[in-house]
Order: sequence, then structure tokens, then C-alpha cells
Amino acid sequence: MAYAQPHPRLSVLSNTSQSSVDHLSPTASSTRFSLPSVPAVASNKPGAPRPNIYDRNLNKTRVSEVSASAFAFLFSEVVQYTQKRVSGINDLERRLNTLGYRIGTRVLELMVWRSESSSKTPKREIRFLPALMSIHTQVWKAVFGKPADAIEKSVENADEYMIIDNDPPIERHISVPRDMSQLSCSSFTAGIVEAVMDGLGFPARVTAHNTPTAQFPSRTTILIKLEKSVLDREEVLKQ
Amino acid sequence: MERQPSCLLSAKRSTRRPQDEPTVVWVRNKFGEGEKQRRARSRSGTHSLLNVNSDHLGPATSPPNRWFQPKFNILAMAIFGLWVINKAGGLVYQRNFAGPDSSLSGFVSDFNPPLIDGLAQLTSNEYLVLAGTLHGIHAITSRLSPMGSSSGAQIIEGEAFKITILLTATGTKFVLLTSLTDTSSDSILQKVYEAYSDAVMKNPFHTPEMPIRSEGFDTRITALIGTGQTA
Repeated sequence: MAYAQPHPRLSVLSNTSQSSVDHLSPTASSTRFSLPSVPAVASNKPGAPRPNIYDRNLNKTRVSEVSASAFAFLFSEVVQYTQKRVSGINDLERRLNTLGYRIGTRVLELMVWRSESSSKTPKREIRFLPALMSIHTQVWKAVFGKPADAIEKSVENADEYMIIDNDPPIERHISVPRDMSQLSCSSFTAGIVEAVMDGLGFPARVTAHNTPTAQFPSRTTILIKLEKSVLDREEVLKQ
Repeated sequence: MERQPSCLLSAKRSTRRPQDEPTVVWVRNKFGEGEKQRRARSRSGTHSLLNVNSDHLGPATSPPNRWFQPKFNILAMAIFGLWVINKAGGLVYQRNFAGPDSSLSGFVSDFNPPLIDGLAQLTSNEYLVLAGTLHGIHAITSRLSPMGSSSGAQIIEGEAFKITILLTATGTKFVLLTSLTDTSSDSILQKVYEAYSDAVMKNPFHTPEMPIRSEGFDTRITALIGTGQTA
């Protein structure tokens, strides 16, 4: 079965999807698609062109909400899809991170565009702490509809900062089996954060870790490890 | 779910005089739940064991001449167990409530045998067989309707317990084993279904039609049913 292969840069997963083309084909796996085929509902009148998503006003969807259930099912499939193509938890987390990264770049672009069009004095954060604050509140609100719960700074390592979410919405319905207890599906969120940090000019390595408490069993810490160049620049800017 | 304070319950028990006790026989009923039932010996022969209500066979009218009348508050409302049966008839989830190890047994002494001992523990294989049997009964009842298609049995009543079945559009069955007088079965099953679609179907680590091993589902069920004592 021949698939038009997109440019490698367009899809980070293109290499693997090529190697498992037969697996991706709906015709090859019958069990997953056991539901009787429903005749396609003619929702579009023939001739009327479908509205293009790229022509839509970007501000129009700012306050509209997405069904949490629909997203939960989508994310569940994302995790299942990814899990089939990896060997081990680290690999799985890295891939979820990569997927989140692709969202983060778009989130940042959209937020910058919106702040430029709505605010009279749009601002770009150039210092690290205000940037981190804006991720904690603005990015979280744009993506999850609520700010994160805390920001912490590592005592041991000067280059480590943490964003803490007591109840990450993407993990609300996920129960990780005991043998994979180290896995945090919030690696996806970590990818978003990493992309925003990179985009703002603070290259960092971002990972997600489960830090459950009695009150919040799904509490998650997003750990940001900054590159040395960022710390050096912060030192220079201080003076 | 409002729970009786235990002191109230124990007070009720202590006012009971020995001569009020009906003759108690511990039996295993024919489905093998091994439910310990109190039964008046003299009239036990006249009772039909099962009243099956299918949706077209009319609502549950008061069963004729029921010799078993729960006397005490404790007995009034109890949830004994919950099963989830997949569309192929396999038991994917099973849990007992109101058992000997629940909080109820705390004030049951040797002189007063427990009114509710819950269901006897069976081996997992026995549960699988029971679930498969129920699946078969349900399939038969769905074809018994004189008025065209039926969704099958909804309530099956025994001497001292009631099986309420919720069939979903996808063929999954939720089965709740309760005491006869329990009125909350339908709403509880609906909430169980909700918990199932949230904590099981949205969990990427669950394989459809396979046994449910989701911590989130367990937590939701515990919050919903607890020790099985309602009212």
C-alpha cells in the first residue's frame, strides 16, 4: 500500500509510520474496526465548499470550549498509538514529549498573535522568571482552562524549576498500571512547556514526574532544567 | 448515600428479644451464591424461587405471598455485589460489598448471627461460570417477549436478594446484587456506568473486553457504594 510520504520535517513520527504502514492501514486490522460500517452521512451539500479551518478567525475560538470527554478519548488513543510503537517507558515519555512540543510551538504563536491584537502594549518576556510565570498562568489557562497550582525552585540545583499541577486535566481518567508506575502521561504537557520555553529563547530540558500526595493522587511536577546559556544570560541581565 | 450511625443500629439490635427470632436455616440457594438466609421453615415450601421481570412482562408487582419480610433496618437496604459482564458474556469486574469484613460485622456477636453476611466468597472460576449463566439467561429472556424485541431481563428476584441488570447500548451488562427492598439499584447502576465510561473507557491502559484493572474505577466504585449499606 503506497502512502504519499510527507516531508520528514513535517512529521516527527513519519519514520516509524513508514515502517509500520501495514499496521496503520484500517483494512489490515479488522478487530479494532469491528463496528458495522455506517453509511457516510451527507452533511455537506454537494458543491458547497467546506469552510477552511485556516480561514477562520483565530480570535473566534478563544473563549469556545472543547469537550473534555472528546479530548480524553483522543488523548487515550494518542497514548495507545504511541505505546504500540515504543520499547520502554522512557521512549514512550520522549515521544509524548515530542507530540506536545508540536502543540507548544503553535500555542506560543497563537498566544503572541492574540496578545498583539488585543493588548495595546504587547510584551515579550525576556527575563526567565516572568516568562515562567506567564507559562504558569497564561499558557496553562489557554491550554487547560485553569492556571497551574505552584511554581517551585530547586534548592539543590540552580538551573531547575518546577511547575506543579495538582490535578492535570489530561490525566484525569488515566490509571497507569503498577508495572509502569514511573510513567507520567504529563510528558505531553512537558513537551508543550519545552516548546514554549524554546520559543521564548530559554532552551531547556523539560520532563514530567508523578509526585502524588494523599490529597492529590495525580499531582504532577513539570521539571524544567535550563541550559547553561540561559543562566549566564540572566546573570548578565541582572547588572 | 446516607448511612445509619452504628450506635443506632446496635440499639435496635439489642431491643430484640430471643423469642422474636424466626427459625433460622442457613442455606445455599440454587444459584450457589451461598447466601445465608433466614427462612421460616413451615412456609418455605410454598414459595416460588424466582420472579423474573422483563420489560414487557410488566413492572415488578408485589410478589405473591412473600414469606420473607425484612424486619430490621439493617436488612432494609444493602448492596451485596457488583459485576460487569462484557458483550461476550465474560466477567470483567466483580466486587463484593456488605460482606463479613465490612464495618457491619463489628457489632455482631456469636449470639446474634449476622443478618447480612453478604455473599459467600466464591472462587474466581465460579464467578465466571455464574456470569456466563446470567449472560445466557439474559439472552433467553430477551427472546421471550410476546411483543417483539426486548432488552431482556432487568430484575431477577430471589428469596432474599434481587439482581438488577443494566444493559448498555454496546452490550456490556452491569449487574447489581442487592437486598429485596433496595430502591437505589437503578440510579446506582447508572452511576456505575458513568464511572465505567470515565475511568475505564478513557483509560489508555485498558483493553476493551478485558478484565478491568483500573485504580480509578475502583476508587469511583468505593466512593459510590462504599460498604454496601445504603439508606
